[in-house]
Formats: sequence, C-alpha cells, structure tokens
Amino acid sequence: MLLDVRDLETHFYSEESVTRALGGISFQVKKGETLGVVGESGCGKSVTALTILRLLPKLSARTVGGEIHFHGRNLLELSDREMRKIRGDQIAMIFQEPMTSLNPVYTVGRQIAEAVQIHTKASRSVAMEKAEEMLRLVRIADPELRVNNYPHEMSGGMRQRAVIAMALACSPELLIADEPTTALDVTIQAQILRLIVDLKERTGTAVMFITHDLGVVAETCQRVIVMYAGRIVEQANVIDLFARPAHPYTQGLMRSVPDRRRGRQRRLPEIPGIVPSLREPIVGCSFAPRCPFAIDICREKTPALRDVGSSHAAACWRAEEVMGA
Amino acid sequence: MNGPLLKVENLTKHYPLGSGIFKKNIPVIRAVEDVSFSVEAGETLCIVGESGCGKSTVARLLMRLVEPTGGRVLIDGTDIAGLKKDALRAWRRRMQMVFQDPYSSLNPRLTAGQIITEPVENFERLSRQQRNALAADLLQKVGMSPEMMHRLPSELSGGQRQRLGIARALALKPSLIIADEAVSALDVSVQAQILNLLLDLQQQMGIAFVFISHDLGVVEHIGHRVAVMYLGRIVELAPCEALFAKPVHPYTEALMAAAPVPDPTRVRLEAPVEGEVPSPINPPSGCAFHPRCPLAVERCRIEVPPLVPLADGRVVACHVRAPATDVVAKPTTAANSSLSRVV
Repeated sequence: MLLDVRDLETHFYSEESVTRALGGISFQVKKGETLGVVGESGCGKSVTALTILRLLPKLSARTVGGEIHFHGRNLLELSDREMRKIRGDQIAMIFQEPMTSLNPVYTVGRQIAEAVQIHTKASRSVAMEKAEEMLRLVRIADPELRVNNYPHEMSGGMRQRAVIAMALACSPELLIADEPTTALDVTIQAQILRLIVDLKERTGTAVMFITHDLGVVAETCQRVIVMYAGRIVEQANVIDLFARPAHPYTQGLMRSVPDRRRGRQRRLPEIPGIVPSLREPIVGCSFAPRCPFAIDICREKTPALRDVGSSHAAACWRAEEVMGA
Repeated sequence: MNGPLLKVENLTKHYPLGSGIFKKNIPVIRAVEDVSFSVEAGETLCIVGESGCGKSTVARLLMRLVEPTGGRVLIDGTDIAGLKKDALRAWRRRMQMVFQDPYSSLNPRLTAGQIITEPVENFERLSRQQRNALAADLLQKVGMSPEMMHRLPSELSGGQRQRLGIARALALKPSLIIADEAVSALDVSVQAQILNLLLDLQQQMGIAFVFISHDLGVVEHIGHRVAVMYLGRIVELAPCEALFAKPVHPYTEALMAAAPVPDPTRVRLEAPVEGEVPSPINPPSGCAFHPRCPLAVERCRIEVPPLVPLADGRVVACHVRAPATDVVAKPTTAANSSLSRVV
C-alpha cells in the first residue's frame, strides 16, 4: 500500500461559520495504480488532494482528524521541512491551469532543472540535461529548443505537458492530477490523457486522478471513488462502477450525461435539488433529500461505506436495490 | 412566413492586430472566414469546434455586438447591418443571448426580479405590479419559485443563475436565442436540468436556438443540425443524426474520436489526432486542417476546399472525402505550378 488515508476530516473556518469540507474519508492508493476521484464542484475532491500534500491555507483550514500514511509515515505528523522533501520528490501534483504552477519570468527548462536540483543535488548542467530529457519524454517537439522557452511562448497543451514533465522529473511514486485536462480542447485532452496513461505504464508512478468527467475516468482509471458532500459514497473498480453503480448519486450522475444510446432530444433524467450546505451538520445520508430511493432510515442515520461486492463498496442503506434498478 | 428565420451569408470577420495610419499590411486575425448557414423557426442549430475556431465570434456577429468585415446576416430577409437606431432596437427584441458564465453575466447589485425584467423596461414602462407579475411568470417558466425575485445573484447557486440568464433572454419573447457555451460551466447534474429546460422551452414556445458548444455529447443530444468549425470556417454542416452516425470531414472524425466516452469496456483503437490548432493570424494554406490531417494530399495544401453538398443533406469541405466534381475536371498542371510557389 502506497497511500493509506484513514478518517480524514478537514474543516474550513470563517468568522461566522465552519465548513466541514471533508467529513471523515478513508481510501487507499496501491503502487502503480490509477485511482479516479470523481464528484461535482464542492464535493471535496480537491480538498482531499490539498490535505494530503498539506497545501491548505493554515489560517482558514485545519485537518481536525484522521491519518495519512505514506510509506508507513503519517504525513500529518511530519515537520514542514520533512513535508517539503516529500512534495515534488515522492508526491507530485499537477493542476487544472498550468500557469498556476509555472513562473512566467523563468524559462521552462530552468524551472524543471530547479526541481531536479532541489531534490537530487545534481549540478546545473546535469539538471538542464534532465529537463531536456523530460520534455522529450512528454513528447514536446524540439525539446532542445523548447527548454529555452518562457511559458507564454507555449500553447496551453504544451504548458500542461511541461508541467507534467516537471512533476515527473524526480520520479515521484504518486502523482496527484487535479482536473489536468479540464481547461484543454478535446483533441488536446485526448493527447494528454494518452500521455499520462503511457507515462504511468513506463514509470510505474501511481496516479490519483481528480476529475468531474465520467468519460475521462472510464478511459484512464482502474479504480474509482465517488465523492458527495465531503464523503466517499462509492468505491469500486472502474468496470463494476459503470456496469452496476450501487449508490443512487453515482447512478444519477451517470444517467444525467447525454448518451446517444438513450435517444436524442429526450428529457435527461435529472438529479433534483442542489448540493447541501456543509456549514450545517447533516443528519442522516447527505444525499437523502435528492434521492429517489430515500426511506426513513436514510434521513435518520448516516450510512457507512460497506461492501456490496468484491472490491465494491457503497455508503447507502439500499445499495442492493439500487444495483438492481 | 417564407424562408428561414436567420440567414447568414459569407460572414467574415478579421481583427487587425494593432493599428497605424502609416503602417501597411497590418497582420489580421482571421476569426471568421466565409461562413454561411441558415436557421429555421423552432430549430436548433449547433456550432461545435475547439477554442479559436471562431464560434463565439459568429455569436457576436449574429447579435451585431461586433461589425462584420464582410457578408450579411438576414433576419426574416432583412439585413441587420443596415438597421439604424429604432429598427435595430426593434430587431434586438427578436434575438437574445445566453452566456457561458452565469457569474459574470449578471449584475451583482440587482435582484433576480430586476435582472429579468430589465430587458422589457428598455422598451416600455412597467408599474410595480406589472413588473412583479412579469418576474414571477418568467421565474416559473425557468423552473424557479417566484419568491426568488428578491434574491441577489450571490445568493443563488450556479444552476439557478444560469436559469436567471435564460429567464432574462425569454423576457422579450424572442424567436431566436443564441446560447454561447451556456451549459459548459455547469456540473453534469445541473447541466441536465438546463438542457431539459431548453428542450421544454423550445417545444412550448417554438424558439429557435443557435447553440454554441465544444461538447459533442450535448450537441448530439439537443441539436437538429450541426455545423463543425475549424479555424474560422465551417468544414461540415449536417443533420445531427447523419453527422454522428457517420462523420465525413476528417476533422469531425478526429473530434468525435477524441471525446472521452463513459464506458470503461470500450477499447480505444485510434491514436488521437496529432498537433494543435494553428494560429488564425497565419493559417495554413489551402485546407487549414491539412497539417494535422491523415488523409491530406497535395491539393489540400494549395486550394481551400469548397463546401460540397452530399446526398444526405450535408455539406462538407474536403478535397478527399467530398471532391467537387467540376473542380476535379480542371487540369492538374495549374495545381502543380502553384504548389511550387507555396513550398
């Protein structure tokens, strides 16, 4: 087990309220696997990533409970200095908008080389060679010229490739990718997804792939966790998840995507209502107010994640019936 | 009424890069190049393409938010370019727009009720009662409760804001709504709600839509006809079902192959199309797609392919897949000589 997260709870504080962004989540990432994390805005998928890397703003956010075991060490107990060593070296992260991770006033080559120098104590020239090699690895044409480019001289797709090159430069064991293709055009998205899958196979890096797009999950991930309102509501391997979703939210999400097999110009099945506020404590299942399956127990007791098949778990009192529906 | 509701003829928009009285040959961005299509009453025409293909510029040209460099936009046979003040105002009532970002397209200081009744108040004076009745009616049409009229945009969810944007567009009872990436910023569950709303409104009120999107799944779901744009030009325009059953232009094909499919059992065979969209400042010669096209032949580098009508009611601009018969007959020597100039 590479990463083992247990009962993780993160809260955000403002003057008048507390937002329970993560309400106690547990999951694992195995060596070399791609784990998809799906859910809609505000479900806590990005907060999960930032909590693991301890990148949340110290003043307004606090991890109030749980453990994050990486190589047997609890990341939450490390000093800031030890954490800095892990970030970029053993766990790297890429974001939706590549410009958030690129410095506009340095060349791309120098930025990749800097990451290499910090973590390997390589000399400047060796690091620059490594930068060029990394750009070649992410299939940027003419890497020997591109190392001297500034970020603004590159297209959006190329910048995202450069960021991936930087993230992989120190051969991390875990890559956290937070919506890495959401800002890109579909043809470029297809290229970047293919690249991430290929590199994962070649380097053996495990990937935690955060996305809102079920199509992207289906094409890149082996295992998936579905999040809703700060909790994991379902966890399964990708084939089972799409074949027999066991949580009404997963099912609703899949059905609300337009699909030619169900006919054009038809009304799409909607998930009624809106996501609950995480500022108020939630009694019972957080999806119950929007759920077509909800019965009394759903509104009274919060369902825990439980097995509904081999390596398939759902947090729903009526999961078996949902799977049959 | 005869003829289409909206007819667009050879629409072209070039943006000069910088200006100067003394400078000659200022480079231009060829945002839209020779685009023609029509929209019938009650129909949904979708425009798809990637960033920089000119689809949003087409929307702005239709609304006359920017002036075209060439070509015409006809509403019920009237050229909107010639319209002055009052006639222009009257015409604007017939066409409304819904924007992508429900956060920046609503005035944060106005209440929901004020936002959606404002278009009407540009034309007539409303009493307080009339205004409230109108706001309540519009809110109900878009599936919101009338009490919401006193809320500010900041107190609404993303989906509710987009409903508000649609209610505002409906206020003047337009015959055509231009929706520019109207569901792209929304979560899928909310997107489904808004798509359903648009389908319902079309059925009840006979509104025509020009629906601009990059999402092929959404386009296939709600479109009657689809225009695919690449680098300022329409490369294929077809009835929706025909297009998705069998794309003809290699770019349409590449676009469809690139879209991720929510089915993990599907094995992806095709390699994704190579390269990136070239710059519209200096677009490739001939067919703009030729540097990325697996089928490209010499002729594609030289001649811009014309839109050729095919039997199933579609038009395609591709020398290989839809050769224009009358042009093919010409001797090839002319093509060879111009090739030597280009290369």
